[in-house]
Amino acid sequence: MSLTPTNIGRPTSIMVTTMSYESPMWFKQNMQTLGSGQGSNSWGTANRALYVPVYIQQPSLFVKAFWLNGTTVSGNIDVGLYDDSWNRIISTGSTAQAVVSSVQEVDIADLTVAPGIYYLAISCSSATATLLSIAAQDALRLPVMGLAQQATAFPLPNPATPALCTHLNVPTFGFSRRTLV
Amino acid sequence: MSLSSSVALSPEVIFSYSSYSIGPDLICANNGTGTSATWPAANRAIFIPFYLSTGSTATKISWMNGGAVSGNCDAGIYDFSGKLMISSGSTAQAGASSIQTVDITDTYLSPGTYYMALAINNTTATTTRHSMSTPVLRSMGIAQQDTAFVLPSTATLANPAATYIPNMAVSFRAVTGSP
Repeated sequence: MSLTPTNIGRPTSIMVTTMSYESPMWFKQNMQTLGSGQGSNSWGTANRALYVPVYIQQPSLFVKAFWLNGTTVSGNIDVGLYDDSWNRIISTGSTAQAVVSSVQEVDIADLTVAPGIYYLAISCSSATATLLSIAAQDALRLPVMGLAQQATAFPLPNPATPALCTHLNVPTFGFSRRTLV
Repeated sequence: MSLSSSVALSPEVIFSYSSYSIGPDLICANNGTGTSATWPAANRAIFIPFYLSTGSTATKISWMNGGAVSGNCDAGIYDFSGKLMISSGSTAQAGASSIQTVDITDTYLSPGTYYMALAINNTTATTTRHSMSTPVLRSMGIAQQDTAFVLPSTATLANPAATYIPNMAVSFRAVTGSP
């Protein structure tokens, strides 16, 4: 006789982001020595995509995507979600970056995701666009947390072809379970 | 025959700095332990998300008073849809620079997403709070409602207008004199 174990995890955060419980980045010492917080950082490389793993423990309904703009806006942003086989599940599509130092949200088709491993993805068409982000202490930190990147990936491709992450600034972005973002 | 199950138990006290609330976001944003500051607007309620993996009975709500106390507070719990589950009712703020804990009617909460809420009826009162930009607060799910003292039976959530997250906690146990 075989019974499937019941796994009741923590409910999904209202905002699933690179900073939230679902992300490996929240344990700060994974990222850097303590002492630095978020700052406005330029994207650095046009058309690069960044993939950040998140671990969803309970079924969740996402209704919006969002990111936090920095002090300069430029070009276009695309935010998406991939499964652990690198298939794109949803993306906002190319969206002009607008309004400095604020939350920018995009309505998405309501998306129910099952428990599992996913990747938050963001790509930016402009090297000078800025996003509120956390800078890793060095280039070794992000690959070992499961982050990956892809060149020439704007808008977000399907499927993704991930490569070693050399990107250093991880923006705060993600998906919301609530219409109020 | 071998049976096994894996259930993530909810903590007996969920503090706003807990991993069952917005603690991960606060740590990632490199925020400190909080400092005393005056309540940002009279009769404003501030809502902080928290999460239960297992059904639990809420018994107390606590918050950290700052260096000055004034007026009255109301602390409560809302479900994800904004329905008030339980609240302390208007309670005189007492005990500068200390934890103020109020008993609430024992209330069973099913596993799910909730908000702990605190409203204060004046702007002289202080709590120990975290301060970050409002976009960062929004990315954590923090919300507010004005003209919300005492706490309304149904919340109408709005985006935070102040860089203010009070330290507060919900207890699921009975320990005299403690959260």
